[in-house]
Order: sequence, then structure tokens, then C-alpha cells
Amino acid sequence: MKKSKLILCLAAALLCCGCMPNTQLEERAIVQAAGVDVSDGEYRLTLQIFDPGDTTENAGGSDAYLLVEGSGASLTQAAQQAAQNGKEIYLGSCQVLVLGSGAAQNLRDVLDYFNSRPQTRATMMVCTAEGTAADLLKVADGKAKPSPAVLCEQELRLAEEEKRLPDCRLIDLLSALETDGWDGSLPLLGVEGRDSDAKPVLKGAVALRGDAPAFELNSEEAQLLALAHSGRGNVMTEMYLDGETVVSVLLEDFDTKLKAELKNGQPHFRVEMKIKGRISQWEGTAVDDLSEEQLTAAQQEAACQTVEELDALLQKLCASRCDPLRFGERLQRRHPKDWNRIGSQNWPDLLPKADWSIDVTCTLTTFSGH
Amino acid sequence: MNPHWNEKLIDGRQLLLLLVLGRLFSMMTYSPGKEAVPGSVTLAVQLPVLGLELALLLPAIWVLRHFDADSLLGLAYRKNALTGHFCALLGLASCILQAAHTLTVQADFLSGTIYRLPSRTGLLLALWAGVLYAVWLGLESFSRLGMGVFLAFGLLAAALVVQSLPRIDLINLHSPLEGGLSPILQGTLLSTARCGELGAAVLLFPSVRRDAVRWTARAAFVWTGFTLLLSFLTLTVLGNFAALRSYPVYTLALSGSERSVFGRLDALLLLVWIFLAVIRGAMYLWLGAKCVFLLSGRSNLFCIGTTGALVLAVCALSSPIGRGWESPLLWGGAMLAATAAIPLLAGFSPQIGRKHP
Repeated sequence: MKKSKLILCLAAALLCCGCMPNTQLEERAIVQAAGVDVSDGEYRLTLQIFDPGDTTENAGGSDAYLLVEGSGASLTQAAQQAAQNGKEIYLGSCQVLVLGSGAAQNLRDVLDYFNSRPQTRATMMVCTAEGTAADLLKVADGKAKPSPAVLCEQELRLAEEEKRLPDCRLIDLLSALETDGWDGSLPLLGVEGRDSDAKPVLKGAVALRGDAPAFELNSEEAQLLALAHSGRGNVMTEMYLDGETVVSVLLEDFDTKLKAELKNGQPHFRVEMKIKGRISQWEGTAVDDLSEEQLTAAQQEAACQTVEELDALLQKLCASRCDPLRFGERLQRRHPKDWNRIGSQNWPDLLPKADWSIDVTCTLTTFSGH
Repeated sequence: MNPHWNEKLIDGRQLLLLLVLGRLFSMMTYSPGKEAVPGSVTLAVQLPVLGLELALLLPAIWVLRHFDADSLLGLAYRKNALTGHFCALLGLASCILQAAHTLTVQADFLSGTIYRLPSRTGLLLALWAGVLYAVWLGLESFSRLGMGVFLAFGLLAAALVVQSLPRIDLINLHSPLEGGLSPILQGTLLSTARCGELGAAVLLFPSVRRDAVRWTARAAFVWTGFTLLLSFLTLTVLGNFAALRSYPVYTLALSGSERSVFGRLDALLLLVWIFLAVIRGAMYLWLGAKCVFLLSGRSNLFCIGTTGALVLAVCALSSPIGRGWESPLLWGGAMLAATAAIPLLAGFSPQIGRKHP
């Protein structure tokens, strides 16, 4: 009985806590997506907020939204201006943060601001826009259905699930900024379509060097970067065997091992990738009738193609002194003495001198499992 | 009225639950960013910490067995009144500190991270009142509550594991020996200093029906297991991001997708955490009130009221103290006062005059 009373008191105390901040729903601006632009030292914050007041026929559910903006010398000031009519800005439901190119240059400041808000979800997706963040959130003249937040989130989450994109949650980016020998990357969203059909689409990624954008990666490079972290993906590729036979292959399972060491004071990377996939089409032949030789030739070609792509990607990354594959961190972990000798601040300067070896094996089957 | 200070109120299992839940509360507030050693070191030292924790119990066990006593404070009073009073004062100070720490940490978390209130005072008073009520109901009552809370915590831990499995990245684990042996030693001492439950165990021995020592040792193994599990998940899932958050375990619970089954683990964690705070706070406040009873021999209302008032006063002082409130010296000192100073004083002080009742 006494225990029941205690539980009742505690449960009541907990349930009544909802009233404590005393903020009614209509007094709270529930942010679904946030966009940050910086130009001439001024921050511009665009917020897509849930609009409970929208009672029009098609405005039900999470589609009811409106866009509010604020600007100021700091994000705090911009947020205060955006919080119109004294509404309290609530970031607990914000799923997407879009950065304009200017804001991406101030990445650490922007991320620190959002991270310091107690309700911010660590899993919030962060991306950059081809133009300004405001333009991306105002896609379809601010009348997009579903809302820009939903469209952006769907595009990013789908790409992440399909391994077309390296991890881009707030937690990943802040971890990268805090870790020596690891540079993050931001997905790049652009707008496709016109007027009411316009919608955000993934255009690739932006590789970071420290806390600033370094260069753009196209969709294929971004996908390769994601696949280099192991996992299941869906890479449809076409190959030309003997220069003429077209073979379509679906690569699905990637098991990657990355190693880093110092050889004669220069970084040496080793990439081992095991790929499993299926042949979906073979020009002129039914895939279930393929011979052992044909299968072997397709496997070798798929492996060669992947080696070439990885080689090109590593060349680009190292030349730009970017390390999104965390080779520096791996070196630090496996060979701490070497890492201490070179010093973490010198690591980016060593990257252009790096060499690497890539070993890819590919196992293909047909769709019927042969 | 319920406290019955001198009776054997709980069994070994209840002691285990009280100690484990108390330790888990401390673990929930762990943040690599606030510690002087990296998270990988804290994770690696948990087994040496377990050894040190068990070793710290040895003086109390030896004294109790050697003098055929079941209570250290009772033994101290048997030796002479002065030693008894001094030991009771030491125990009271240690318990008040731990209870006040529990309440302030929980109020800070709720007011700062969850509800974003300008002041924690209201929440602090609400928690304090809840803890006082639990103490008024008695040790047995809130010990029984521990079973349900422990089950809820077990479910929460299991859900956290399921949610975190796909996100575990072992590259986030660094060698604990990167900085040499010094951080290992420092990490061992820091982690042990946070284990105030050793002091609580020593003071709770006389209230346990039997096998108190054995159940305390089991409790140490259980809380070490949970600490290893949650530290591992926090480090491998959150990586260096953990160091940027005040409450990484809460962040871990929040890291599930909002739309997944585990999307609201944070709400479950919040619920469990409040119960952990109430049980831990009640345990120390009950022990403190028992010390006041030994010192004064007054009524239960007086003992509980005085201890509660002292806890509230220390809570009020914690803000002006600032960073000193987080000092490992303070918490290590409070723990050592109960696990080392009281047994040694009780065991080695001379017997003078009549035995105190």
C-alpha cells in the first residue's frame, strides 16, 4: 500500500511535469527544418515551423507549415527575430539543418549553436544547399507538399540507407570536428523541377577539411565514400566486357577494411574491399546460362572498375588534404607513436605525399542464385 | 512510524538493488567531457576499479568480524561515546553530501536539459519532498520499490543495446595506454571516488538480515557490468561527440530515430532516472537520519526533519561552491569517510567508561 502511494506520488509528479514550462502549443514554434545562411557577417535563419493554425482543407497533419525568417549578427539574434510574436522556438522535432554555402564556411559556429540547444536531436541530418538554404526551404514557392522538411529528410535518409551518402547526422559531423585525423562531409542538396513540381534532390557531397568545405564530390564519389565504410548498398553498374558486351551488375554487400601506417615518414594506406553482388543482365545471353568463365570475367571486371574508382577518389581526397575515411584516426589508434611523432596538426600536409594499395575481390551470382 | 533505525529491515537482495540503483544513478551523470581522462581509459579501468572497490570494503569487514559486531557505528559507541559521536557525525556528513548531490544533479538535469527552467529551485524542492516522503515510509518500502525500478532499468538497457547495435563503431575505441600509465591510475581513482555506494553499503550492513557482505560484493559486480555496457555503448556510438554533451547516456537514448520503436527511449530513461534519484536520495537521507538518531536519540520526525533540512541547506550551497562541488576530492573524501575512517576509528579507539546504549 505504502509502495503504491509512493509510486502514485512519483508518477503524478512526473506526469504533471508537462505543465511546468507553461508553454501552450500555440505559443511554441515547433521547428521541422532549419536553414542557415551567412552573408556579409550577418546570419539569416529560415525556419519551417508546424502551423497548428492552418485549418484549410488540405493542411492536415505535418503538412501544415509556414516559413519564418530572422537575421542578426549572431544565430541567437537571428533566432530571436525569427521567434515571431514571442513564440518559443522548439528544436526537438527539427530533423534537417540546411546550410547555405556561407554558413558552411562557419560550420563549427553553426553546429555549436544547435548542439548547445538542449532539445536538439543528435540524429538531426545536416546538409548544404547548392544555392542558399532559404531557397531550398522555399522550394515550390513555399507551397511544397509534402513540406520541404519532409522532402529533404526523405531524400537524405533514403540516400543514407542505400549507402549513397556518408553519415551526415549532427553527431557524425561534431565527432569528426572533435577528432584528429577525421574530416567530415556534408550532403549537397539542389533543387530539381520547376514551380510546384520543384523538389530537393541529392547532388553529391561536400568534403570538409577541418571545419571548412574543401571541394565537391559528385554522386558516384559520395557513394563510394559511403561504401568504403562497409555495409549493404545498392550500386547498379554497367560494364563492357571485351569492349563490347554490356553487363549490368547490382553490387549489394561491401566489406571494407582500411588500414594506415607510416612508411619512410610517409602515409601508406591499404584498402581491402570484398564485394558481393548479382548479375542482372548480360547482353545476348540469359544470365542463368552463363558459363564459369563468363562469371569470372565479370567478377574481375567489376573488381577492376572498383579499384579504378577508389584510386581516383583517394587521389582527389589526398590532393585536397581531406581525410573523410579516417585514415589519420586509424594511424593514431594502431600506431600511436608514429602519430605522436608526426603531430596531428601536420597530418593534412602529409596526405598529398600518401601512397596506397587497393585490393578488391568481387563475388557475383545470378539473380536465381547460381 | 516506520524507520525503526535499529531493526534488520531488508534482505540481501534488496541491499543489492539499492546499491546498484544508487551507483547507476551516478553512472548516468558520467560525461567524458567533464572527466580528466579519456572515455576509453574510463572504460578500461572498470575492472581494476572493481578490485579497488572490493578492497575498500575490507577494513569494515575485518573490524566487524574481529569485534563480532554487526554495526560500525554501534561498535564505535560501544568503545566510547566520543568516538561514537564522531563516527556518527562523519557518517552524517557523508550521507548529506551524497543525498544533496543526488538532488542537485537531478534538478539540474531536469531544469537545464528537459524543461529549460530559469531556476531549479521548484524541481529541487519537489524532489526533496518526494525523497523525504520515501524516507518517512521507511527503508523497507523504498527498497521494495527498487525491484520495479531495476526491472525497468534492465529493459531500458536492453532497448538501448538493440537500438545502438547498428551504430556501434569500434574505431571510436582508442587504446587506454596511449597516454601511458598515469591516466589509467588517475581514471581508476576517479571512478572509485564516484562510488559513494561503498560508504552506503558499510552503513547499511546492520539493517540487512543476513549475508550483507556477500550481497554487497555481488552488487559491485552487477554495477560494474552495467557500467561497462553503457560506457561501451556511449563511447562506440557517440564517439567524441559524447565529450560535447553534459549527459551522454541521455544523448544515447535520444539517438534513435524519432519514428522508430525506440524513438522515445529518452522518455523511458527520464522516468527511470527520476526513480533512481528518489531511491538514491532516500537511501542516503535515511542513513543520515539514522546517524542523527544515534547522535540525539530523538524522535523520527526530528531525525528525518533535521537531516532533510541539512540536505536542503547543502543543496543551496552547491551553487556558490561551483566547480568545487564536482571535485573528486570531495566525493572520494565522503566515500572514504564511511569505508575507511569509520571502521578504523571504531576498531582502534580505546574503550572508555560505560558502553553507550
